[in-house]
Amino acid sequence: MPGAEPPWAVATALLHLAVVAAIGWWSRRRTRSADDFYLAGRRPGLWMTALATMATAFSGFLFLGGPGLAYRLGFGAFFIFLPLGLTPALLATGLGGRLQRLAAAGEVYTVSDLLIRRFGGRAVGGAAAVAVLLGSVGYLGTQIQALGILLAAVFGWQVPLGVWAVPAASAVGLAVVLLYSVGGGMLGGVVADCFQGALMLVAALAVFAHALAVAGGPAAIAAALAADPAFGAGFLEPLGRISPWTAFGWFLVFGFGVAGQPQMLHKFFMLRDERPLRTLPLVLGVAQSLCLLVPLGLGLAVPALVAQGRLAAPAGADEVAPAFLLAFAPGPLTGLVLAGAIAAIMSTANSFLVLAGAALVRDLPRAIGSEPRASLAAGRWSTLLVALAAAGFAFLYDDLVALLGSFSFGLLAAALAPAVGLGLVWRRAGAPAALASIWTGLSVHLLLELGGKWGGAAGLGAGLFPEGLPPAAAALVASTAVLLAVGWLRPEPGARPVEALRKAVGRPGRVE
Amino acid sequence: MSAALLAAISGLLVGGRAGAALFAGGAVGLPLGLLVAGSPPGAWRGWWAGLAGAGLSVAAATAVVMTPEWARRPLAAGWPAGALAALVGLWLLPLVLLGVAAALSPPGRQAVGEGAGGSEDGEEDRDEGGDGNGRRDARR
Repeated sequence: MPGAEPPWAVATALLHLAVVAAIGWWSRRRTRSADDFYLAGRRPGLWMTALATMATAFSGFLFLGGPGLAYRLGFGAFFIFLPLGLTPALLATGLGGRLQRLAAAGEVYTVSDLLIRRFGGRAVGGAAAVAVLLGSVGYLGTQIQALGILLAAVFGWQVPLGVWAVPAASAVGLAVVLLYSVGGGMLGGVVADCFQGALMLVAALAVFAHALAVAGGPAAIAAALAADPAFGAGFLEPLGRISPWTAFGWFLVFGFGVAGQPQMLHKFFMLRDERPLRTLPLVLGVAQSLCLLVPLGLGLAVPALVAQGRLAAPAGADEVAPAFLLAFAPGPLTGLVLAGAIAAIMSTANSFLVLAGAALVRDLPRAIGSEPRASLAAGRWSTLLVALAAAGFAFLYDDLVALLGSFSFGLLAAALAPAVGLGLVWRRAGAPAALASIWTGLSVHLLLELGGKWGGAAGLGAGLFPEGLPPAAAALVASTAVLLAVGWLRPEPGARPVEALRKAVGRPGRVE
Repeated sequence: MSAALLAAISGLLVGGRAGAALFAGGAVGLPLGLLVAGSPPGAWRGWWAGLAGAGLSVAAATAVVMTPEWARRPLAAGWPAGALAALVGLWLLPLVLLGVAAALSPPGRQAVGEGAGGSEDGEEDRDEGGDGNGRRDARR
C-alpha cells in the first residue's frame, strides 16, 4: 500500500488507537469474573450484539481485499457477500434462541462447551477445539500482518525502518488489541466493537457515496465497463469472471457456513435473554449490508474509472482501495476509511484472541482429561500467549499464515457448521454423527487446500470435483452428508444429551 | 435440507451445466433449509409468509443467474438482468422479508425456537414458554 495522506491518516489512526486503548483501560477495571471475560457479563442487548457481530464478521478483507477481488473477478466476487440476505435470520431466528438458552442454562463459554452440552462426551468438544484453534491461528496471523502493513503505511515507517517497518507496526497495533483483549476480554471487545462497528458503518457509507459520485453513477459505470475491452459487458454479468461452481460454492460456504463461525456464535452466548432476537435479523442485516457497500462501491467504481481513463490500473488487487483514496478522496475521507479498515481488523482479532485462548486453556485440556481452567487469570494469560504465538507464527511462516488466512472461514464452516447448525435442530444427530462430521470437514478441507497449495496447481481435487469449486464447499458438502448419514444410521433419540437439550432449549425437530 | 444436500451432491457428480444448476439449487437450499428447520413452528403466520417470500425470491434469482441468455439482458441503466436479480433476489429481498417478518412476530413465540415441521414422533409442537430451568419467559 502506498503512503497515505499524512496528516489526516496519521491523526485518525492515532485517535482510533487512543479511543480503543481507553476502552481497554475502562473495561479492565470492570472485568472481575470469567463470565465478564468470556461473555461480557451477559450485558449486551440488541444494538451492542448487532454492532459487535457485524464488526467481528468483517475483517480487513472488507476494505482492502473485497474491492480488489471485485476488480479482479467482476460481479461474481459479490457471491461472497450475497448470503448476507439470509445469514442474519439464520443466526438470530434459526439458531439464536437455542444458543442463548444453552449458554444461559450452564457454563457455556465456547463452541466446544456448546457441543459438549448438546452431545455429551469430551471427544466432540476436543474436535471442535482443534478446529477453532486452527481457524483462529489463521485468522489471527493474517489480521496481525494486515494491521502491520496498514499502520506502517499510515505512519510512513517503510523508509526509516525498512524491513522492520511491518513487524514494528504490527507490534504497536497488537499491543492496543491486547490492552483491551487481555484486560477486558469480551467485555472490552464488545464495547470496542461497538465503537469500531459504528466507525465502519460511517466509513462504508461515505466511501460508497463518494465512489459512485466520482465514477458518474451506476449508468456511467455500466457504460464505461461495457465499452472497455479490458473489462467488457461480461464484467457486470452475475457470474463475472468466475464459474457457477465458484459463485455458488462461495454462496454455500458463506451462507450455510456462518453456523460454524465461533466469533459470531459467541455473540449469542452473551445475550441475557432472547428479546433482541426478534429485531436482530433486521438490525444486523442492515448493518452488514451497509458495510457491503464498500466492496460494491469501490469494486465497481475503480474499474469504471480505469476504463474511463481517469485512473491508472492498480498494480495489484490490494491496491484498488488505496489507489482510489489517494487519487480521488479528500483527506478526511481517507482518514475515515483507514480508521474503518483498522477497526475491522482489530475487532476480528480481539474475538479470535479470546476464543483461541479459551480453546487452549479450557477446551483442549478437557478433551485429554485434564481439568479445564475457566478462571479470569487463565483467560488473560492464554489470550496473551495466543497473541504472541500468532504474531511469531505470522512472521516466521509467512506462506503458511497466508494459506491459513485464506481458508480459515472455510475451515471453520466445513468443520463446525453441520455439527452446530444441524446438531441443534435435528434430534437424530448424536455425538458419533457430530464427531464424524467435524473430522470429515477438517480433514477433507485440509487435504484439498494443502494439496492445491503444495500438490501442484490442480491439487488433490483435480478430476474429483468440477473446476473452480472452492475446496471449502466440497468439504462442507462432505461433512454435512456425513452428519446426516451417521445421524440416520446411528440415531440417538431419547439419549440423555438430547433430553437435556430438549429441556433447556426446546425439542429439536425434523430436518427433512 | 436432505433434498438440498442431495441436489448439491448430484450436481457435483453430474457436472456440466445441468450439474452446476443442481449444485446452485443445493447451495442456496442448504442455508434456507437450516433456517426452516430452526425456525419456530406454529409461530405467527407472517413469519412463514416472510420465509416463503424469501425462499421464492432466492429461487427466482438463482434461476435467472443460471440462465445466461436472461442474465445478460440489459435491464436498467445498462445493468444486466442477472446482476440486478442477484442483488435483489439473493440479498436485498430476503434480508427485508426475513427481517421484517421476524420483527413483527409476536414475542414469546419465536423465542422458544423448536425445530420446524413438528416432532418425529408425530406429537404436536407447542410453545413451552420458560427456559427449562423453572424460570418463565419474562415476556409472558
